[in-house]
Amino acid sequence: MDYKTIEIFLIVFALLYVVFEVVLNVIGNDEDTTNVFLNKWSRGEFLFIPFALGAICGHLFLGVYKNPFPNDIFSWISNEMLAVALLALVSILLWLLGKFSSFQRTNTIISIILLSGLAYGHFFWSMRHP
Amino acid sequence: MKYLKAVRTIIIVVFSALVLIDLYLVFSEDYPTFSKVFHVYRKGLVWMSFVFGGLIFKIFFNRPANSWKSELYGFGVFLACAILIFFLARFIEFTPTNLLEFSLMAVGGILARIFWPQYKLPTA
Repeated sequence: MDYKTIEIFLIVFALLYVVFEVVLNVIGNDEDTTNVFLNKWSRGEFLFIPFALGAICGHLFLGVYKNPFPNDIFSWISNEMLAVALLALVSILLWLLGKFSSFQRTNTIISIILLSGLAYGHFFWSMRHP
Repeated sequence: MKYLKAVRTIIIVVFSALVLIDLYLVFSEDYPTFSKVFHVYRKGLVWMSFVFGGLIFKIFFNRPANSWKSELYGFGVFLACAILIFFLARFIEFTPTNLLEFSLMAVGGILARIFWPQYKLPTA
C-alpha cells in the first residue's frame, strides 16, 4: 500500500488549512475562523461535533490492546464497519437532539459529549489490537 | 455576511470532502485510509496528539483576549511546543502508549487554554 502518498496529502492539506486560517485571521474579523464556527455549531444544532472529534481522537491516538470482540458480531458487517456505522448513528441521534431541544449547551455538557466520544473511539473503534 | 457565508461553505465543503476521500480509501486496495497512516506512523506522529488536544480546547474551552497579539503569541508558544515534541520524538526511543498520548493531549489542551486565547473584537 502506498502510505507515503497519503501521508504527503495529509501534510499538504494541514499546511494549506493553516494558511487558510492565518489568512482568515489577518483579513477577517473574530467570527470567521474554523474554531469559532465549530464552537458555535456545537453549542447549537450540531451537538454531534464534540462527540465525533472525541471519537476521532480516541480512534487515532488511543485504543484498547485486546480486542473485546475478536469475532464479527454480525455476519453481514465487519466489526470495523459496525463501529463506523454506530458512530454515524450516534451522530445522527445527537444532531436530532440538538435540533429539537433547547437546553443550554454548557461546558459541562460539551465535556461529557466529548469524553463519551473519546471513550467510544478508545473502546469500540480501536486500531491498537491486531 | 456574504463573506461569512462563503467561509462557512468552504469549511463544510473541506470537511465533507475529507470524509468522502476517507470513505473512498476504505474501499481502495492501493491506498491506506487516513487512520491507517496514523496507526503505522504512530511514533512519528505523536506530536499530533498534542496538536489535537490543543485544538479541541481551542475550539470548545477557549478564553477571550482583548488583543490579537495575545492570540498570536499563544499560537507561537503552541507551535514551538509542537515542533519540540516533533523533534524529540525523532531522537528519543520510546513506545507511544495510551498513557503518553493521552497525557500529550491533556498537556496540549491545558497549554492551549492557558497560552492561546481567542481574540474577540471589542464590542462598541
